[in-house]
Amino acid sequence: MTAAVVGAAGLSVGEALRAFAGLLRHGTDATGDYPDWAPRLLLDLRLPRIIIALIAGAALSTAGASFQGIFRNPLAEPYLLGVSAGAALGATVAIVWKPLTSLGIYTLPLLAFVGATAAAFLVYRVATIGGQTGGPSLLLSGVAVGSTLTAITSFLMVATERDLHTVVVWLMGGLTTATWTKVFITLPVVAAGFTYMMLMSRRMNLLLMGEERARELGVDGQRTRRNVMVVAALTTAAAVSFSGLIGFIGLMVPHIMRLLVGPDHRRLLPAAALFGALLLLVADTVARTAMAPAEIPVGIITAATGGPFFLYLLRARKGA
Amino acid sequence: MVGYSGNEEALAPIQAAGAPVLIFNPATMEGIYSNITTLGAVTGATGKAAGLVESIKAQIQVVSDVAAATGEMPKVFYALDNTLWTCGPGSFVDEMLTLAHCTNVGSVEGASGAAAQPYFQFSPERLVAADPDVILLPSSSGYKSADEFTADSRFAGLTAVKLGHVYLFDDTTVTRPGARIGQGFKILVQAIHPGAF
Repeated sequence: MTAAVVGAAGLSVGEALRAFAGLLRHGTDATGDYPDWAPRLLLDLRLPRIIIALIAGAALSTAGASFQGIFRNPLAEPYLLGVSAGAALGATVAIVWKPLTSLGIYTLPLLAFVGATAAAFLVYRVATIGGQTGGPSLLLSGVAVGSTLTAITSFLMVATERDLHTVVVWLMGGLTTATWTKVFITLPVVAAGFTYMMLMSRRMNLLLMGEERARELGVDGQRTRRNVMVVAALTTAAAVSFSGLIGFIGLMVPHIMRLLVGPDHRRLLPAAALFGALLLLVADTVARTAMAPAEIPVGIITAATGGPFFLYLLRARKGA
Repeated sequence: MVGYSGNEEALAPIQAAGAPVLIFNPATMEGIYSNITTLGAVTGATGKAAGLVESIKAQIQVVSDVAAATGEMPKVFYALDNTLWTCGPGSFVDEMLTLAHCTNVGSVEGASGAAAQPYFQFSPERLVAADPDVILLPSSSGYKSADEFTADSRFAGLTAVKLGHVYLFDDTTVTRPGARIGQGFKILVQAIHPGAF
């Protein structure tokens, strides 16, 4: 709510509230004690941006929590399977390969999504030996595939120096181009992903006790892990393809929530979704207002504030 | 030996080898003039260089006077890319826009806030609030056509969009700080003051 009335446009909180009221009663043509453009600004710019922030924050946090759970590895995060490197390569290709840009403004998110899912698939295939996918081999192949793709991205950036700026801006992550269309495309994917992870939360809990115990209780660890992983990667890809690479949220939010609500995925996943969504919303609100009229890439804010906060939480817990 | 580069360290070995190095990277009108003068001096064409500088200055003056005669100061937004990076105070484009008798949205808005930087990412909300009369899209911005900008639902209400004052142009001629800047400046002013010529 606060985010909705705070902004860079030089609209006072009171004006924003009145414009919202006008918007609800009369639509974007509403006039009143506020600038004429205010209702349209709130509807077409501020609201979709807030919603995209919430969706992306929730997606990254739940994907991170799931990855950490199924691999029992505290360093697992949404970009583990090379999703970020794949998305970056896809986006870079969309930016530098001119014939593609004629396909319209959705070329970039589409290619980013394709790159992200293809990278995740590749990492998974490479790490699967004799039908088994081990946690360590997955982490390592994620790193290897990731750095290979990053090298290709870097080469493309150097080879097409004119587009360097556009690529760098995308890589830093940001929600400045949020629109309702993007909300309607991302929301179903992320909602479906979240629902699936929730359905699997009990199995993920059993996996935490170890592969053997889980098997005794009738859980196919290999299958659960593969399915959750695919869904988490898709969820991440959907969020990343529209908002660029936003770091920290997916790694740290699950840890923070685990410290607060415990490791039970049935509570951890919704808690992570909620906190991740709110955290990214707060960060993005700072990003669009702190240095207005300039924007700050939101990834800088999430990392700069989240890192120290997480360290504090770790220390505080140890002391207790 | 002439280098167009910001990386002076890379040129040091060449200099050490005994070749004189001159770096040309102008960011102002004055910079363009002094570079041409320098080039004239080292190539023994001082007179020609001075003539070129004078002719560019005259071109700029004529066009700038035409722009001033309109008595109008339209608000102009210069989009460096499709995420609204723009040129603020201290940038070369800002200097050109000032000479073109218009209000650079990136500069005016920037001057009042914390963002008085030559280049920064502009808030889309501020763009709607500022409501520019003209939007300039250099070809290097990645925009393929003006329609690509006007099709953005967020900016449908802008005066520039409603009146069709969104222009795509080739920035290698228009805003590249070099000897062709006189012609480029005229193209810029024609877009900003459509009725002036």
